[in-house]
Amino acid sequence: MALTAGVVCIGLLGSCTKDPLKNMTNEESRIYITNYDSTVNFEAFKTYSISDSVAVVSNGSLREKTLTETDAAFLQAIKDNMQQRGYELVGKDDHPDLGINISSVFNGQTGVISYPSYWGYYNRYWDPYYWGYGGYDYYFPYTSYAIYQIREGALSIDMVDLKDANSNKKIEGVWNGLIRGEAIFNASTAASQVKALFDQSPYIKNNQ
Amino acid sequence: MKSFKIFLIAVLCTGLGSPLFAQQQKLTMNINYAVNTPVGNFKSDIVDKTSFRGWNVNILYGVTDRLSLGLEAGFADYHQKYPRQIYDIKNGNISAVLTNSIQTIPVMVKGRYNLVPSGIVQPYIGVGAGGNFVSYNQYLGEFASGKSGIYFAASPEAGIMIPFSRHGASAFTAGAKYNFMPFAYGDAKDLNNWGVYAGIKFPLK
Repeated sequence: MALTAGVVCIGLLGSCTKDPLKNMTNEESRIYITNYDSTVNFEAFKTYSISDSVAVVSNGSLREKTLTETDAAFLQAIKDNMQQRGYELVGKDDHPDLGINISSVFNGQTGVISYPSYWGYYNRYWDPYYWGYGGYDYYFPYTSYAIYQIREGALSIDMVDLKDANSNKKIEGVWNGLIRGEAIFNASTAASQVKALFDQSPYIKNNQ
Repeated sequence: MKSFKIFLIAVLCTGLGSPLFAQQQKLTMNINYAVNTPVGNFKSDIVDKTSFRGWNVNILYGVTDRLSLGLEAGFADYHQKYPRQIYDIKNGNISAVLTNSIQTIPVMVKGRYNLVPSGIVQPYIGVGAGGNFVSYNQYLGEFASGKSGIYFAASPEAGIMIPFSRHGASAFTAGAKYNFMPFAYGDAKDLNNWGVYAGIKFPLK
């Protein structure tokens, strides 16, 4: 009888735990992470240009660049938010103050990689020649503070300082927005996801 | 109120001397359903909802008619989901639905002292102390981080037993206990809680 009671108890204990992921919606599963260089005055930038496609990065290597319906939706959402914040879109050959790159980041490995490795190979995905600054390296001052464990897809939006690239002799990252979670690569929710990143980044503005 | 007190005293005294030595040298199992409410830092910073997913089980040996010693194991599952908020991190922010999920499984040496061993209603006090298996997980969205390990736990308690028969060792049990559970991780400084329980006690031999 004691054994039976014990088995029943253990069974009841195991079944009593409430699963945190059960009934979690896709929206609830998502996290929006923003990092920025707090020494940068974003009002000093007036114009920006944005990449014409999305880099698909897999295990630290550029797989391809794509412009799917979803990619286009994210690009447009970023343009909309930048316009609302007072920045002017110009062509990449028109000496933009800011450059914006978008990457879909995947890790097919079961292990864990740290996010700095994404920035460590950044030249592979976004050649500085694209922005007219061949020979320069990218530099992201916040990489050492942002260690993310990536086991599945993530969307990374990187804002780099082109205005000061010549004087700095490098292309500095000034802001990064990262989206992770369920069903993030979805054209119908691209606008709301990008808006979430900008909503928590009120310092990105140019009121002049 | 006065009549109630007289009734209570009468109830407690009615059985005095009747079912003599009902507990002595008996091995009993007590299974209880438990409800636990976080207090202090646990309540203010981690989970403020009461857990209705808890149990405790003890096996006690009647050393004397009043004193029983043995082992107790328990379980409680705490869960709370906070709506999406923006949190500060170094050089940035993170927006997430935050979920705390905590399970405690104390396994303790237990002593229980029956204040009125022959009463129809038998009040008792007790205390347990031992290890506490803790699984602490904090989810940002669907992404979990946390800590698991064995920590100290101590639980003073007070309750009543109501035997099903005058000479039987089986009884209805109900009580309350304070669970002192040190723990440190992130914002958590302890997992202290108080709980109430109710169940049955029956002899194993």
